[in-house]
Amino acid sequence: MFRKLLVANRGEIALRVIRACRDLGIQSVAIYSEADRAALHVRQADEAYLIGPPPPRESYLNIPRIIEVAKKAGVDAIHPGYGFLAENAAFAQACQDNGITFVGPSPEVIGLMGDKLRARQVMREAGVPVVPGTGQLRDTEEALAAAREIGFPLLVKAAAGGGGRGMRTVTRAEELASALELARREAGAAFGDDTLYIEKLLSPVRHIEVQVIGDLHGNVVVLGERECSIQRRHQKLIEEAPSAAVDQRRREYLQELATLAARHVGYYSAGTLEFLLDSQGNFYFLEMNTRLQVEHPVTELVTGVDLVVDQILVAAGEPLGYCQADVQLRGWAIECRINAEDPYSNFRPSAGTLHYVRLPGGPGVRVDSALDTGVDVAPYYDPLIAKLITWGRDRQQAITRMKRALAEFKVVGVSTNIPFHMQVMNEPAFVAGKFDTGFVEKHFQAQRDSQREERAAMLLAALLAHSRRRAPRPAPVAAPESRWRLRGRLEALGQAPWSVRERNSWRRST
Amino acid sequence: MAEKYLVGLGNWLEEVEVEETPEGVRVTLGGQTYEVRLEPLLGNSLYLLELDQRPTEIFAQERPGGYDIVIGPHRYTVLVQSARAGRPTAPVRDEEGWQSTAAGWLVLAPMSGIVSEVYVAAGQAVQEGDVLLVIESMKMNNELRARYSGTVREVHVGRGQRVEQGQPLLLLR
Repeated sequence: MFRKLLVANRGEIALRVIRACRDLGIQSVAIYSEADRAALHVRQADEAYLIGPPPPRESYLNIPRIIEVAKKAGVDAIHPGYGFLAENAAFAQACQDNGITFVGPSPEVIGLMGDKLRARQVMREAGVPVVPGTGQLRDTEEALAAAREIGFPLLVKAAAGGGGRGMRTVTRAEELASALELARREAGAAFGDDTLYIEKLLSPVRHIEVQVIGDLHGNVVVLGERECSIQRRHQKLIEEAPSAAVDQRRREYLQELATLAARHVGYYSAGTLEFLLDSQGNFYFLEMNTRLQVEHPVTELVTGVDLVVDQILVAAGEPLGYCQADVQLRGWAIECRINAEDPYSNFRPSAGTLHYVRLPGGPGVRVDSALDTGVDVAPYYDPLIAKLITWGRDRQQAITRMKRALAEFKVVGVSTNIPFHMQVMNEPAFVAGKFDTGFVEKHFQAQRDSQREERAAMLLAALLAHSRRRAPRPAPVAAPESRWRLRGRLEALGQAPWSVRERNSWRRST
Repeated sequence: MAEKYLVGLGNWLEEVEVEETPEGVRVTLGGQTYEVRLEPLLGNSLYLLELDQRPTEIFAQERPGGYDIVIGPHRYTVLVQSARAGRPTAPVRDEEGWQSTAAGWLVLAPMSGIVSEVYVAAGQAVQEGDVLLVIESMKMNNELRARYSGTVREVHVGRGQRVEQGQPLLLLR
């Protein structure tokens, strides 16, 4: 077993890994950029090392510097979290070359799955259906011929791509040439590799993924599926486990596909196979993520497995402590990604200092975050500031608890997408489980219906300015009795937290 | 004695009258009068606002010219000033927040972030729609395009610089 582990990440996922280390009795080492001096993951780790200036290239993506710190701290393992270097084969290789265990699959498998074209090829060989498409495109003419065969609309994609970059939607043959040119340039700039291919654009479609975990002894266990169709611009916003679109027959089929795929490439550690589910009920392999996913907690809540702990254990060479027959799904879990962005101005990023934070709690609620009063949400990094996960014995209870938790969640200092999540939880199509990846575009109203709140905000501003003029610092007034009253249940669930009762204007003359 | 304040939220500007009474405070906004009690809790950011005898938890943080106010899950930026000085000469802004001044259009940062590209220099002519600069924030590149044709008079920021929302970036005329 490891004695000391370095977490090559920041934010909530760094804290998540540090917690797993503590549970396992492993000493944890944090790294941080100058922007993260006061971050929670730095304060919670057993040791912490400054690695560079705020921009990721100079800190959390700086491989030589991270390896140097790892050696100085004397760690025997590195956990990459997700994002940053988590799917960087060169980083996994650098760990190996320096005698440090990389908590993840082999550099070869990371490289294989990072190349979307090779991944499609390997999956076809394994007998897993892939989205209809081409191999590497050599020129526009070849692309045009292939496009006519596949049919429009289609997607031009980068072999090295991910997260929607280097990707273009093409609806007509005339648009293909310029789309190829744009995607080629974008992919070249973003990934240093401008290899492109074409995939059929399936629509409407649900995004469903399967969690696998394997050990170094050839065991592979599938931990059920996750529903990830609530997305905006290819960024997931809400995930759940299980999926309302997957019945037992389909679940067994997915399990079969995932086992087949993982065994075919000799996969170990935690990994995720992403599939598209079309309206005819067909599954198509999209890509495999060779790391821990942001949304791993929903799987943990319905299976009882601690994915990060198990990931560390199998990296240390231990066999998995359970087999496929031991995996039982229990209840339902939903995750809302809380992002620092303003849903009312086109999800514009919102950086700033957190003046006040209150995390929700109570039955069935889990919060994975690195939020803390006084912490700076810096513009250098991802807008994800917290993951709010609820569990219920069924989907309805998980939604009810999510509404309660969203209403309890308070973040002062930056705008968040909490109002967006509240809207979704009340949207009939979401509640019914009937949606696809077009849900956000179709259903989200980017407008708030809160004249009353606006009026209250204006009243309050005038009052504060008034008390400021009278006493430069408003001193707390000792109230003779608490003026709090129980708020109604509906109000607590975020529906019109209050109302302004209007008085007749004749009162002004008194 | 009633005091008057000018309060602005977005494009909404209102005169608000605050009058102290033995029972609490009476506030008039848009012809409506409300009975209000305001009680600071736990320091100076959390308040109990009781409006017409209904209590609500509100967070208020001072900012230049006003307050950031959080009610439920929503954040409002409210500007406030005493009305004694008379009607303010509020800066004219277009819908993207560009501010019209005597010297020209002042381009303000629409969000906090890092200036990742500056494509223009002082003295350069630009056409409506030209990309002036790029602000990177939370892994998103946000292009700032010229909303009017003209000449760049001043450039206040450089590549790699961190900027806060509302900070002046360029002067265009």
